[in-house]
Amino acid sequence: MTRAIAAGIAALLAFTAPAAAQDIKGPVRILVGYPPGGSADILSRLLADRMKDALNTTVVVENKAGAGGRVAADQFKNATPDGSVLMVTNIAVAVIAPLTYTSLKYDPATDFAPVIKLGDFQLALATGPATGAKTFAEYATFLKGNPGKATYGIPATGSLPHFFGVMLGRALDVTYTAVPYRGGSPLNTDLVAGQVPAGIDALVDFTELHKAGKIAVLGTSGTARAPQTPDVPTFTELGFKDIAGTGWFGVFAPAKTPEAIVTRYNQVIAGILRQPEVVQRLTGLAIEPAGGSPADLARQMTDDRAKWGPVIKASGYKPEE
Amino acid sequence: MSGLIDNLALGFAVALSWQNLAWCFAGTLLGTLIGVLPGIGPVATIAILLPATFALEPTTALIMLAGIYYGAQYGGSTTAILINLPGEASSVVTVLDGHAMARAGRAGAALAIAALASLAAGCIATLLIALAAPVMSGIALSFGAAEYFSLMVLGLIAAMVIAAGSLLRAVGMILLGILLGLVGTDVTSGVERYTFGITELADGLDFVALAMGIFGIGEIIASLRNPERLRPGARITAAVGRLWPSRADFRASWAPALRGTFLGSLLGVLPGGGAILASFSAYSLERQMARDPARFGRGAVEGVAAPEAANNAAAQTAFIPLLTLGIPPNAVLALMAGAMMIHGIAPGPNVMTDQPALVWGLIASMWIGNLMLVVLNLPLIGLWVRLLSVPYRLLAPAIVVFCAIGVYSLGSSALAVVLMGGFGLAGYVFGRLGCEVTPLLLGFVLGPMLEENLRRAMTLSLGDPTVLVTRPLSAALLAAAAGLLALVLLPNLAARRALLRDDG
Repeated sequence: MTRAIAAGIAALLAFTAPAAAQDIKGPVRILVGYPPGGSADILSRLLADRMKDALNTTVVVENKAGAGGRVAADQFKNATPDGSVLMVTNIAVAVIAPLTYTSLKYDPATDFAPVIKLGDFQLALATGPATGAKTFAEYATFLKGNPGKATYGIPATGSLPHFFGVMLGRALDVTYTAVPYRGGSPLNTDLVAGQVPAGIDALVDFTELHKAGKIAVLGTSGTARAPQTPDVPTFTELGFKDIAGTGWFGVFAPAKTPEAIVTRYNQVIAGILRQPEVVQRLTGLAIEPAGGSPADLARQMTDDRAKWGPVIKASGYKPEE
Repeated sequence: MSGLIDNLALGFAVALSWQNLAWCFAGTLLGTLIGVLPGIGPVATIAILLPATFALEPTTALIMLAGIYYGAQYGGSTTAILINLPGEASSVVTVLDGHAMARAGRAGAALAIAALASLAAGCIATLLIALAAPVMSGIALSFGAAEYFSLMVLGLIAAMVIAAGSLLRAVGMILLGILLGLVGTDVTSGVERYTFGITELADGLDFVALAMGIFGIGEIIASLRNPERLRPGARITAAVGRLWPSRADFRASWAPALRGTFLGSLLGVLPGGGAILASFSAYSLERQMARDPARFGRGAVEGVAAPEAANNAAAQTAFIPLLTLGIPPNAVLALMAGAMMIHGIAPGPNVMTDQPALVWGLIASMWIGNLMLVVLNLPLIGLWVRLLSVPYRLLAPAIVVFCAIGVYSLGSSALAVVLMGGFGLAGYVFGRLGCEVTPLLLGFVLGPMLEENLRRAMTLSLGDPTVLVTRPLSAALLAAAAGLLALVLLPNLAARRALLRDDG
């Protein structure tokens, strides 16, 4: 009898709530387009570990690295939209790549269903012994006197730091030349050694070297100071009103995944992002926990397209010619 | 000095705990095994095990993962020597004389020399880390894009020396290797080259698929032409011979092993191609110094001792940039940095002072791990050598299957298996044409680094090419390259002139 009542109430609830969350039957696979050990991977594994408890089912992380996350996106596009597969990816795959490549095999607008934004990360400008600058003002003066050293290292060509540098160069009114590296590690080596005058990358790559005094982070790209570097002002504070822009990680489901499943995932992950230990772990990766609804993530993507589209166009970056 | 002793005492106290000893052994054993299995390298293995180390103490986790890394260097030489199959980039040159020794019935001696040279190199390099990590990290920092470019020029010229046969063919193979290396996304412009719209090729051709195809599969295809080798009972070598190296082997090996250790320790701190540069420059050096260079490629024991010492020394000193600056110089150490982050330790310049137990425990464990590897590997030699007594017609298909599994496991990519097959055919054709494939592999690895660094140097100087000769270190490396080129070309030119004189 009680069971029948419970079932009745459950049925009633399912009817009344517009997109009532549907329970998820595992196992769940989280596709990550980056190799193990990086921020995206550590984030996904943390998430998978907590989702396993929250959903009471198996959650596995599958790394499918390659082409800056695009190999995984290609594969994800064809995944069954039944809630058994999710993808953790970032602004580069979801917004930047569609703006730079014309022959992309996936379209985030039609192939991905946004689930939730996991967190934002700030970009940072850092300099080393090559300029000796400790503050942004000193660096700007250095650039005026040494136009031959107006170069900045970036972890990859066509990346968010690349275009952030384009934006910064325009604001500073200098010919600012990007020097692409094969990832953040070789960039950091050259920065510490003074082989490259400055560098732009995700803040997490610079934090420890900045704390140790090997390099100086001059400015960060967020709207508020990053908790990892409270001594470093944002570009907005430095007087560059429009020089702000953060990257983010988000969770997606394949398009056509039932709305009820997306809603359930959104609720579960939003809960995980509020756990104090998770917040602490994300802070260690210089990621500020986000959350919000699937519509919020979709809006973020639209806003970012509007923000970076003109910058990318102005940079003249065309990898397919 | 007393600081060093204190640090080492702390390190050994950490590394000698039962738990750390056990996990160190587990790591080195696993490393040896995956090194022996073709294709499955330390990167893939550490990647798979990384989440499993969640449950371990951070120090224990790093000790085990490090064991997998240098253990694989030992294991990788085993297949290179026995079945002509370099599993790792750094064991490519070990194939040349190691496999020649195996065919001459001296597989046991080659394996033992490889293991002992690696042990010596590992111990010396670890001592160097303990004594001089900050100084060595300074060496890494003195290399900018211009210096790397000049080093790659020197490396590519040294690659010409490696080939035993025709110089012209060697140059041709190096150029072909460079071309293959250019497949994928151009680091500087972001343009995809020769990818034919296949996203999987955006990161370039896979080294393991290329090396296993062109060496292992190529040789198996070649053997199909030879009915003798397929006869029931036919083996890689008729005579297995003695398992232990002779007194003469030891006498011939110790000095090359020390020179290899020196080169390896130095080149290991350089990001990127440290281990492979180390192993083949050690080989080239021995060949240049040898009284009779013609022995190389035909089973010279120095040709095993020097590169094996060099690659193991390089594998150890590669830890220096990670421990002193928190910057990982290669893919395996990037995973180790990831392992530290998983445990909430931020890899950075302060890690040595903030986490002395972790850093010195890791350094001490490398000593212990190298010792374990030798104790583990010397008795295994008897077992490995027995592999050679398996009839070739049974061994060959097994090799193909293991290669296919190994290559597929790298990125669960069927494309990699197809590519390996294609490179196998190419390897067979090269063999028929009398072209050696080692220079091709060196071109494949060094060529893209040459291009990347040249263009980076040019971007940094805003297009001024004189930086290549005005920076002293770069100029010195280019001068050394010119000197080596003269050394290589002069005997050839002299021979040709003599030939012309005789004709006239």
